[in-house]
Amino acid sequence: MNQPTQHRTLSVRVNGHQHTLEAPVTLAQLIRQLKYDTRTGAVALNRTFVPADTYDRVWVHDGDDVEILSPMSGG
Amino acid sequence: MKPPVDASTNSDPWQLGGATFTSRLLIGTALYPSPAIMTASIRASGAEIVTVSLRRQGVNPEAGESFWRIISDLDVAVLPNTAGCHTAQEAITLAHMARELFHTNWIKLEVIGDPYNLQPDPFETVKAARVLIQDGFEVFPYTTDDLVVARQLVDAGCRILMPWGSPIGSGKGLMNRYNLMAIRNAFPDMPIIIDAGIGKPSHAALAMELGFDGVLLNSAVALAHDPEAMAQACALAVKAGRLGYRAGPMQERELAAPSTPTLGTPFWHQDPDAGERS
Repeated sequence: MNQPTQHRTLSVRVNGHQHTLEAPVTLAQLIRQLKYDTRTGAVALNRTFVPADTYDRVWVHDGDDVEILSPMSGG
Repeated sequence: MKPPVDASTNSDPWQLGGATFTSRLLIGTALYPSPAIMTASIRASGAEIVTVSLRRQGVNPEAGESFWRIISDLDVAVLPNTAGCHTAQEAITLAHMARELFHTNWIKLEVIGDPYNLQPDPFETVKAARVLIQDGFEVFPYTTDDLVVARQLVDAGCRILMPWGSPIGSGKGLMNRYNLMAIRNAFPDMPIIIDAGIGKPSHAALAMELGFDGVLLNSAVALAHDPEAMAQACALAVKAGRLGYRAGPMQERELAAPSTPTLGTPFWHQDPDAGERS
């Protein structure tokens, strides 16, 4: 994915919470900064699945919506 | 043709999603009072397949790891669901996330169309099933008892059907036997699992007596006063229903037919004048 044009900060929603991050930032960096755990988490960016082996190549843009999901009980 | 009944060995394996199983009871992992009760109930049920979900990782990421460790220790097959999805795209995305996380191509496809009865959206379910099958998933589609939708799911490539008995968590059992049997009869060789609405062991037994291949339940066990005992009861019900189906039940009759032989019936029933001679 293209590296974003230079913004000083990005506003990104992660698991429903708004975060302000310094740009540019990859998904891998976002996950580390916000202390999520991808050993037990899978990621979707703007409602599209992102394979784990691409996190360090996917750039996050201003206004993006990230979901990091983990195993949970279910029926 | 039904296989011959051998109650002594109780061996009645079935093929599902490319694997062979002995238990025809699938069980969910939600709503239990505690992880310990969940574990005990799953063990008591004898289920070899459990359903799980994906939810947002919270402030405490260890929670997901802890749950996964518990499930892994049970040594069961995992069937992730797409619960909470309302569109085909959401379900497709969730399914891909589940495949990466759980290392399985199995997916219980749930695309909900109404928040009141959690009825599956038939159009979005079929749309999602088609895409997921092309993406290599083994789709377990949660659907209603609509024969036309079932047929469209099969045409989309589904090798398994999971019609509801009644709405999720309602405990109402099998609401529409006619519709369910229409699906059973239309697809006699396809694994069909009654999923949702099972509230009591008798519901599970009935589903199996009618010739369905398995039952998936969660609330019936998790919300029981004694989940572990209820899990055992449901397991026995599934086995009893399955054995009853294979044994070939008698035909239902409109008129009564005496079970005691009528020949040699005493007193005046055969000789209307016997009462006068005495």
